[in-house]
Amino acid sequence: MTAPNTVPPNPPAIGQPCPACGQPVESRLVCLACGALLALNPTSPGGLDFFGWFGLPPAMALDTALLSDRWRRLGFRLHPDLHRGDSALGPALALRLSSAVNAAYKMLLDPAARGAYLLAELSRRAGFTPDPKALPEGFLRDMFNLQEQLEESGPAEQQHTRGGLNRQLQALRTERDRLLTEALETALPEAPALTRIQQLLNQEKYLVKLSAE
Amino acid sequence: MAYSDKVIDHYNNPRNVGALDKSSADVGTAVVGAPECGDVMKLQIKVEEGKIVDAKFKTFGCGSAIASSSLATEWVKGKSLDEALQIKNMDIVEELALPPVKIHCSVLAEDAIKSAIADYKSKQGAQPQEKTG
Repeated sequence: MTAPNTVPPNPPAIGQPCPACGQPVESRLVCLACGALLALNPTSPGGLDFFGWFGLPPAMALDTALLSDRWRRLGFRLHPDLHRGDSALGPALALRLSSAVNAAYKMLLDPAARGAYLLAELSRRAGFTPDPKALPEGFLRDMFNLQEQLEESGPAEQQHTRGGLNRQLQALRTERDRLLTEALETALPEAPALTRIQQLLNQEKYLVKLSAE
Repeated sequence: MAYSDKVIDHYNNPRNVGALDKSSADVGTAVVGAPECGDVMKLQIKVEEGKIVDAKFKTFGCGSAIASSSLATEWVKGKSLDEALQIKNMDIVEELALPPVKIHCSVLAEDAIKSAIADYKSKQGAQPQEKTG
Protein backbone atom coordinates (compact mmCIF):
# COMPACT_ATOMS: atom_id res chain seq x y z
CA MET A 1 0.00 0.00 0.00
CA THR A 2 1.33 3.40 -0.95
CA ALA A 3 0.42 6.33 1.20
CA PRO A 4 -0.38 9.60 -0.59
CA ASN A 5 2.62 11.80 -1.35
CA THR A 6 5.25 9.10 -1.11
CA VAL A 7 6.95 8.25 -4.36
CA PRO A 8 6.19 4.79 -5.81
CA PRO A 9 9.25 2.68 -6.76
CA ASN A 10 8.37 2.79 -10.44
CA PRO A 11 6.10 5.34 -12.05
CA PRO A 12 2.87 3.69 -13.21
CA ALA A 13 2.45 3.19 -16.94
CA ILE A 14 0.19 5.64 -18.76
CA GLY A 15 -3.44 4.72 -18.08
CA GLN A 16 -2.65 2.80 -14.86
CA PRO A 17 -4.15 4.15 -11.61
CA CYS A 18 -2.27 6.82 -9.69
CA PRO A 19 -1.11 5.31 -6.33
CA ALA A 20 -2.31 8.45 -4.52
CA CYS A 21 -5.73 9.20 -6.06
CA GLY A 22 -6.55 6.17 -8.24
CA GLN A 23 -7.17 8.22 -11.40
CA PRO A 24 -5.59 6.91 -14.65
CA VAL A 25 -2.11 8.37 -14.98
CA GLU A 26 -1.52 10.81 -17.90
CA SER A 27 2.06 11.74 -17.08
CA ARG A 28 4.80 9.59 -15.57
CA LEU A 29 6.25 12.63 -13.78
CA VAL A 30 3.35 13.99 -11.77
CA CYS A 31 -0.28 12.87 -11.52
CA LEU A 32 -2.21 15.50 -13.46
CA ALA A 33 -5.34 14.71 -11.42
CA CYS A 34 -3.94 15.10 -7.88
CA GLY A 35 -0.40 16.47 -8.23
CA ALA A 36 1.38 13.50 -6.59
CA LEU A 37 4.99 13.00 -7.63
CA LEU A 38 5.26 9.75 -9.63
CA ALA A 39 8.85 9.63 -10.91
CA LEU A 40 11.42 8.21 -8.52
CA ASN A 41 14.46 10.20 -9.63
CA PRO A 42 12.91 12.95 -11.71
CA THR A 43 16.12 14.95 -11.90
CA SER A 44 18.71 12.17 -12.39
CA PRO A 45 19.99 11.88 -15.97
CA GLY A 46 18.98 8.21 -16.15
CA GLY A 47 15.46 9.09 -15.01
CA LEU A 48 14.82 11.67 -17.71
CA ASP A 49 11.95 10.02 -19.52
CA PHE A 50 10.87 13.10 -21.47
CA PHE A 51 8.19 11.40 -23.57
CA GLY A 52 6.83 9.68 -20.45
CA TRP A 53 6.59 13.01 -18.63
CA PHE A 54 4.01 14.04 -21.23
CA GLY A 55 2.41 10.58 -21.39
CA LEU A 56 3.51 10.08 -24.98
CA PRO A 57 5.17 7.07 -26.66
CA PRO A 58 8.79 7.67 -27.70
CA ALA A 59 8.46 8.32 -31.43
CA MET A 60 9.31 10.82 -34.16
CA ALA A 61 5.62 11.24 -34.98
CA LEU A 62 4.26 13.60 -32.34
CA ASP A 63 0.74 14.63 -31.29
CA THR A 64 1.66 18.27 -30.69
CA ALA A 65 -1.84 19.24 -29.50
CA LEU A 66 -1.70 16.56 -26.80
CA LEU A 67 1.89 17.51 -25.94
CA SER A 68 0.92 21.16 -25.47
CA ASP A 69 -2.15 20.24 -23.42
CA ARG A 70 -0.08 18.05 -21.04
CA TRP A 71 2.62 20.73 -20.84
CA ARG A 72 0.09 23.33 -19.69
CA ARG A 73 -1.41 20.98 -17.11
CA LEU A 74 2.02 19.92 -15.85
CA GLY A 75 2.90 23.60 -15.44
CA PHE A 76 -0.20 24.07 -13.30
CA ARG A 77 0.46 20.93 -11.21
CA LEU A 78 4.09 21.96 -10.63
CA HIS A 79 3.35 25.45 -9.39
CA PRO A 80 5.52 25.79 -6.24
CA ASP A 81 2.68 27.38 -4.23
CA LEU A 82 0.70 24.13 -4.49
CA HIS A 83 3.51 22.16 -2.85
CA ARG A 84 4.14 23.92 0.46
CA GLY A 85 4.26 21.24 3.14
CA ASP A 86 4.44 18.45 0.56
CA SER A 87 7.06 15.94 1.76
CA ALA A 88 7.82 14.21 -1.57
CA LEU A 89 7.52 17.25 -3.83
CA GLY A 90 8.36 20.50 -2.04
CA PRO A 91 8.28 23.97 -3.62
CA ALA A 92 11.99 23.93 -4.52
CA LEU A 93 11.76 20.60 -6.37
CA ALA A 94 8.50 21.68 -8.00
CA LEU A 95 10.23 24.77 -9.35
CA ARG A 96 13.17 22.74 -10.68
CA LEU A 97 10.86 20.21 -12.32
CA SER A 98 8.78 22.97 -13.80
CA SER A 99 11.78 24.44 -15.63
CA ALA A 100 12.92 20.93 -16.65
CA VAL A 101 9.44 20.32 -18.10
CA ASN A 102 9.63 23.57 -20.05
CA ALA A 103 13.03 22.60 -21.50
CA ALA A 104 11.76 19.10 -22.37
CA TYR A 105 8.68 20.58 -24.05
CA LYS A 106 10.79 22.89 -26.20
CA MET A 107 13.16 20.03 -27.07
CA LEU A 108 10.36 17.64 -28.09
CA LEU A 109 8.77 20.25 -30.37
CA ASP A 110 12.00 20.55 -32.40
CA PRO A 111 12.25 17.54 -34.76
CA ALA A 112 16.07 17.64 -34.92
CA ALA A 113 16.37 17.79 -31.11
CA ARG A 114 13.69 15.11 -30.74
CA GLY A 115 15.62 12.90 -33.15
CA ALA A 116 18.87 13.44 -31.22
CA TYR A 117 17.12 12.57 -27.95
CA LEU A 118 15.63 9.40 -29.44
CA LEU A 119 19.04 8.45 -30.85
CA ALA A 120 20.56 8.78 -27.36
CA GLU A 121 17.83 6.49 -26.01
CA LEU A 122 18.43 3.97 -28.81
CA SER A 123 22.19 4.10 -28.19
CA ARG A 124 21.61 3.23 -24.55
CA ARG A 125 19.37 0.35 -25.55
CA ALA A 126 21.89 -0.94 -28.11
CA GLY A 127 24.96 -0.37 -25.91
CA PHE A 128 26.56 1.45 -28.83
CA THR A 129 27.11 5.19 -29.23
CA PRO A 130 27.90 6.40 -32.74
CA ASP A 131 30.69 8.94 -33.31
CA PRO A 132 29.00 12.28 -32.57
CA LYS A 133 30.71 13.87 -35.59
CA ALA A 134 29.84 11.03 -37.99
CA LEU A 135 29.34 12.15 -41.61
CA PRO A 136 29.26 10.28 -44.92
CA GLU A 137 32.58 10.14 -46.80
CA GLY A 138 33.10 13.29 -48.88
CA PHE A 139 30.20 15.22 -47.33
CA LEU A 140 32.33 18.05 -45.90
CA ARG A 141 34.14 18.42 -49.22
CA ASP A 142 30.76 18.73 -50.96
CA MET A 143 29.63 21.32 -48.40
CA PHE A 144 32.83 23.31 -48.92
CA ASN A 145 32.42 23.25 -52.71
CA LEU A 146 28.78 24.25 -52.38
CA GLN A 147 29.74 27.21 -50.17
CA GLU A 148 32.32 28.35 -52.72
CA GLN A 149 29.80 27.96 -55.50
CA LEU A 150 27.24 30.05 -53.59
CA GLU A 151 29.87 32.70 -52.91
CA GLU A 152 30.80 33.03 -56.57
CA SER A 153 27.41 32.76 -58.24
CA GLY A 154 24.79 35.40 -59.05
CA PRO A 155 21.34 35.71 -57.47
CA ALA A 156 19.50 33.52 -60.01
CA GLU A 157 22.03 30.73 -59.70
CA GLN A 158 22.04 31.06 -55.89
CA GLN A 159 18.30 30.63 -55.80
CA HIS A 160 18.61 27.52 -57.92
CA THR A 161 21.28 26.11 -55.57
CA ARG A 162 19.13 26.88 -52.54
CA GLY A 163 16.20 25.07 -54.11
CA GLY A 164 18.42 22.01 -54.45
CA LEU A 165 19.57 22.41 -50.84
CA ASN A 166 16.01 22.48 -49.58
CA ARG A 167 15.12 19.34 -51.50
CA GLN A 168 18.23 17.63 -50.10
CA LEU A 169 17.22 18.74 -46.60
CA GLN A 170 13.72 17.37 -47.08
CA ALA A 171 15.10 14.02 -48.25
CA LEU A 172 17.46 13.83 -45.25
CA ARG A 173 14.63 14.49 -42.82
CA THR A 174 12.42 11.85 -44.40
CA GLU A 175 15.21 9.28 -44.15
CA ARG A 176 15.99 10.36 -40.56
CA ASP A 177 12.36 9.87 -39.49
CA ARG A 178 12.07 6.54 -41.27
CA LEU A 179 15.28 5.11 -39.77
CA LEU A 180 14.41 6.34 -36.26
CA THR A 181 10.97 4.80 -36.50
CA GLU A 182 12.42 1.48 -37.70
CA ALA A 183 15.10 1.46 -34.97
CA LEU A 184 12.53 2.21 -32.25
CA GLU A 185 10.56 -0.84 -33.35
CA THR A 186 13.69 -3.02 -33.10
CA ALA A 187 14.53 -4.76 -29.82
CA LEU A 188 18.27 -4.38 -30.41
CA PRO A 189 19.00 -1.55 -32.86
CA GLU A 190 22.04 -2.20 -35.06
CA ALA A 191 25.18 -0.06 -34.97
CA PRO A 192 25.18 0.85 -38.71
CA ALA A 193 21.59 2.11 -38.47
CA LEU A 194 22.46 4.27 -35.44
CA THR A 195 25.55 5.65 -37.17
CA ARG A 196 23.47 6.52 -40.23
CA ILE A 197 20.95 8.35 -38.03
CA GLN A 198 23.79 10.31 -36.40
CA GLN A 199 25.14 11.16 -39.86
CA LEU A 200 21.73 12.41 -40.97
CA LEU A 201 21.34 14.57 -37.85
CA ASN A 202 24.78 16.09 -38.50
CA GLN A 203 24.19 16.59 -42.22
CA GLU A 204 20.95 18.36 -41.38
CA LYS A 205 22.83 20.88 -39.22
CA TYR A 206 25.24 21.77 -42.02
CA LEU A 207 22.45 22.11 -44.56
CA VAL A 208 20.29 24.22 -42.24
CA LYS A 209 23.24 26.55 -41.64
CA LEU A 210 23.91 26.79 -45.36
CA SER A 211 20.33 27.42 -46.41
CA ALA A 212 19.90 30.06 -43.67
CA GLU A 213 22.80 32.19 -44.94
CA MET B 1 30.59 37.93 -25.68
CA ALA B 2 32.72 40.36 -27.68
CA TYR B 3 35.52 39.13 -29.89
CA SER B 4 39.09 39.83 -28.73
CA ASP B 5 41.24 42.29 -30.70
CA LYS B 6 43.30 39.41 -32.06
CA VAL B 7 40.22 37.62 -33.41
CA ILE B 8 39.04 40.84 -35.03
CA ASP B 9 42.49 41.40 -36.55
CA HIS B 10 42.56 37.91 -38.09
CA TYR B 11 38.96 38.28 -39.22
CA ASN B 12 39.59 41.63 -40.95
CA ASN B 13 43.03 40.69 -42.28
CA PRO B 14 43.03 36.92 -42.61
CA ARG B 15 46.51 35.53 -43.35
CA ASN B 16 47.09 32.98 -46.10
CA VAL B 17 43.61 32.78 -47.59
CA GLY B 18 43.56 30.75 -50.76
CA ALA B 19 44.27 27.34 -52.16
CA LEU B 20 47.24 25.18 -53.12
CA ASP B 21 47.28 22.57 -55.86
CA LYS B 22 45.29 19.74 -54.34
CA SER B 23 46.66 17.18 -56.79
CA SER B 24 50.31 17.98 -56.06
CA ALA B 25 52.14 15.24 -54.17
CA ASP B 26 53.73 17.70 -51.73
CA VAL B 27 50.41 19.30 -50.74
CA GLY B 28 48.27 17.93 -47.90
CA THR B 29 44.60 18.95 -47.86
CA ALA B 30 42.10 18.83 -45.01
CA VAL B 31 38.41 19.68 -45.04
CA VAL B 32 36.97 19.54 -41.54
CA GLY B 33 33.73 20.70 -39.97
CA ALA B 34 31.92 21.27 -36.70
CA PRO B 35 28.33 20.02 -36.66
CA GLU B 36 27.57 22.21 -33.60
CA CYS B 37 27.70 25.33 -35.77
CA GLY B 38 27.89 24.05 -39.36
CA ASP B 39 31.30 25.65 -39.96
CA VAL B 40 33.46 24.15 -42.72
CA MET B 41 37.22 24.74 -42.90
CA LYS B 42 39.73 23.84 -45.61
CA LEU B 43 43.42 23.91 -44.73
CA GLN B 44 46.29 22.99 -47.03
CA ILE B 45 50.00 22.63 -46.41
CA LYS B 46 52.90 22.44 -48.85
CA VAL B 47 55.81 20.37 -47.61
CA GLU B 48 59.39 20.45 -48.81
CA GLU B 49 62.10 18.30 -47.23
CA GLY B 50 60.00 17.62 -44.17
CA LYS B 51 59.21 21.29 -43.52
CA ILE B 52 55.93 23.10 -44.10
CA VAL B 53 56.89 25.85 -46.55
CA ASP B 54 53.42 27.20 -47.29
CA ALA B 55 49.91 26.98 -45.89
CA LYS B 56 46.55 28.23 -47.16
CA PHE B 57 43.06 28.14 -45.76
CA LYS B 58 39.50 29.05 -46.49
CA THR B 59 36.83 28.87 -43.81
CA PHE B 60 33.09 29.31 -44.01
CA GLY B 61 32.11 30.06 -40.46
CA CYS B 62 32.13 32.51 -37.59
CA GLY B 63 34.87 35.01 -36.76
CA SER B 64 36.49 32.66 -34.27
CA ALA B 65 36.68 29.82 -36.79
CA ILE B 66 38.24 32.13 -39.39
CA ALA B 67 40.72 33.53 -36.85
CA SER B 68 41.62 30.04 -35.57
CA SER B 69 42.39 28.75 -39.06
CA SER B 70 44.21 31.94 -40.06
CA LEU B 71 46.41 31.64 -36.97
CA ALA B 72 46.94 27.92 -37.63
CA THR B 73 48.35 28.64 -41.11
CA GLU B 74 50.69 31.27 -39.65
CA TRP B 75 51.93 28.90 -36.97
CA VAL B 76 52.54 25.84 -39.14
CA LYS B 77 54.66 27.70 -41.71
CA GLY B 78 58.34 26.93 -41.26
CA LYS B 79 57.65 24.08 -38.86
CA SER B 80 58.53 20.42 -39.37
CA LEU B 81 55.58 18.02 -39.50
CA ASP B 82 56.35 16.80 -35.99
CA GLU B 83 56.51 20.35 -34.66
CA ALA B 84 53.21 21.23 -36.36
CA LEU B 85 51.58 18.18 -34.76
CA GLN B 86 52.50 19.65 -31.36
CA ILE B 87 50.13 22.62 -31.85
CA LYS B 88 47.23 22.15 -29.47
CA ASN B 89 43.83 23.77 -29.66
CA MET B 90 44.36 25.32 -26.22
CA ASP B 91 47.38 27.23 -27.60
CA ILE B 92 44.98 28.81 -30.12
CA VAL B 93 42.39 29.48 -27.41
CA GLU B 94 45.05 31.25 -25.35
CA GLU B 95 46.50 33.27 -28.23
CA LEU B 96 43.08 34.47 -29.45
CA ALA B 97 41.45 34.68 -25.99
CA LEU B 98 38.50 32.60 -27.22
CA PRO B 99 35.52 32.31 -24.86
CA PRO B 100 34.40 28.80 -23.77
CA VAL B 101 31.56 28.68 -26.33
CA LYS B 102 34.12 29.13 -29.13
CA ILE B 103 36.59 26.47 -28.04
CA HIS B 104 35.24 24.10 -30.68
CA CYS B 105 36.57 26.53 -33.34
CA SER B 106 40.10 25.96 -32.07
CA VAL B 107 39.51 22.20 -31.98
CA LEU B 108 38.51 22.45 -35.63
CA ALA B 109 41.80 24.20 -36.48
CA GLU B 110 43.83 21.56 -34.62
CA ASP B 111 41.88 18.81 -36.44
CA ALA B 112 42.60 20.56 -39.73
CA ILE B 113 46.38 20.65 -39.12
CA LYS B 114 46.43 16.96 -38.15
CA SER B 115 44.23 15.93 -41.04
CA ALA B 116 46.27 17.92 -43.61
CA ILE B 117 49.48 16.29 -42.35
CA ALA B 118 47.82 12.85 -42.48
CA ASP B 119 46.70 13.53 -46.05
CA TYR B 120 50.23 14.59 -47.04
CA LYS B 121 51.74 11.49 -45.41
CA SER B 122 49.25 9.16 -47.11
CA LYS B 123 50.09 10.79 -50.45
CA GLN B 124 53.79 10.21 -49.81
CA GLY B 125 53.11 6.57 -48.96
CA ALA B 126 50.97 6.09 -52.07
CA GLN B 127 53.14 8.20 -54.35
CA PRO B 128 54.67 5.49 -56.60
CA GLN B 129 51.21 4.33 -57.73
CA GLU B 130 49.63 7.75 -57.79
CA LYS B 131 50.46 9.73 -60.92
CA THR B 132 47.36 11.86 -61.32
CA GLY B 133 45.83 13.39 -58.21
